Amino acid sequence: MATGFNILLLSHLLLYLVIAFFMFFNLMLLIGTISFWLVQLWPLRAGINAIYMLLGGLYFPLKLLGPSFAFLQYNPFSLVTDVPARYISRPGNMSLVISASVSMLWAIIFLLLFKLIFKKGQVRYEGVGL
Amino acid sequence: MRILHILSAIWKKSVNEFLIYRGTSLITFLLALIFFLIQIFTGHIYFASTHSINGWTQNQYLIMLSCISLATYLYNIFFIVGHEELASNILNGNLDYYLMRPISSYWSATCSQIDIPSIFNLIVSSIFFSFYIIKERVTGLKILLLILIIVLNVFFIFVLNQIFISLNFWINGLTAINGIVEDSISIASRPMQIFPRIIQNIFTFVIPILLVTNVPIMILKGQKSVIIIYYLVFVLLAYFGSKLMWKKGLTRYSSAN
Repeated sequence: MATGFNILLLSHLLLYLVIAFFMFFNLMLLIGTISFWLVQLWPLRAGINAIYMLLGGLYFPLKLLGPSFAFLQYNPFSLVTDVPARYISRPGNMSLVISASVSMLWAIIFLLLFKLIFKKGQVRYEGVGL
Repeated sequence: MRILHILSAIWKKSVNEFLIYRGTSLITFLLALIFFLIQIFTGHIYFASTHSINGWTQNQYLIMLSCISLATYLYNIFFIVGHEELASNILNGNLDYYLMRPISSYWSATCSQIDIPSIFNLIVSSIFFSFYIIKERVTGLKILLLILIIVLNVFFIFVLNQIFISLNFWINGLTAINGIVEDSISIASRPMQIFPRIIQNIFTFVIPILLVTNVPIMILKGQKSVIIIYYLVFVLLAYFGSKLMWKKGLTRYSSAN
């Protein structure tokens, strides 16, 4: 905070977090639709958690993978963890505009996919008549 | 003999379910494989530019990861399906089927089905484990001790999950903590020296999750046999605690039938 984290930067971060939250919510919604096809959902837990830890930069910073993998910073998991963390640690040194734009693009893609898959999933749904 | 008949019936039922739900089985196998491979890949990244971190070599780190995977997959094979259903069975009053049978409800409610896809994951991680162990050149006795510790780890994961799930007898809607044990073990899959001292002490002596992950390497290095004995005693006490919780919890159980 002592490195120049002013109200403007904070408001940028908050706005970005709202967009990132909306994007991640849609991603989880999309993943949830898999339950139309699966009888057990526990296998998703470990697999998705590991992908989240790896692509979110929680196991190690994604920069360690070198410039060839720079595109990974725009994956949905990195956008909700790695990007805000880097912004907080170096406020003023990076812009959130590109990340926010990519997040919105992901959010729209996930929402459209969710609607499509939910429609297909409803065909497979069987009620128990309670 | 009676146990064999029960296990045989569980096996037949599980194989049938595996064949009926092939899509779910394939996804279960693939996601668990992804989890394991990501952990191994992470290990290679950590040691990409150094031979040793805090006295741990890359091979020792990978042995630790494969030991945890073996324990997790063994737990998944025998208990995950039962545990996944148990919390909702307690909350919805659906335990009658297990309570009316002439076998221990503690075991029949938790080991009601074998997860076949996890057997394939177990085979994959066994191959990795064997490869790293051969590279480490350890004695037969240490390999035997490692296998015993893996079995103890399976029992620890089972007992801890059982304790958390049994809390549903007292607290409604505790399903939010499903998977907390597996997630904690995943986070603790690091050399314990990298954690702050207070975290080390809590997760060594209060909830010994760091021992689940670190004891195999302690055995390889011939270190701290007192802590290993403490771990064994803790798991036994936790087992009796979970049995007691189950017994007390059943007195609060309300059937929905």
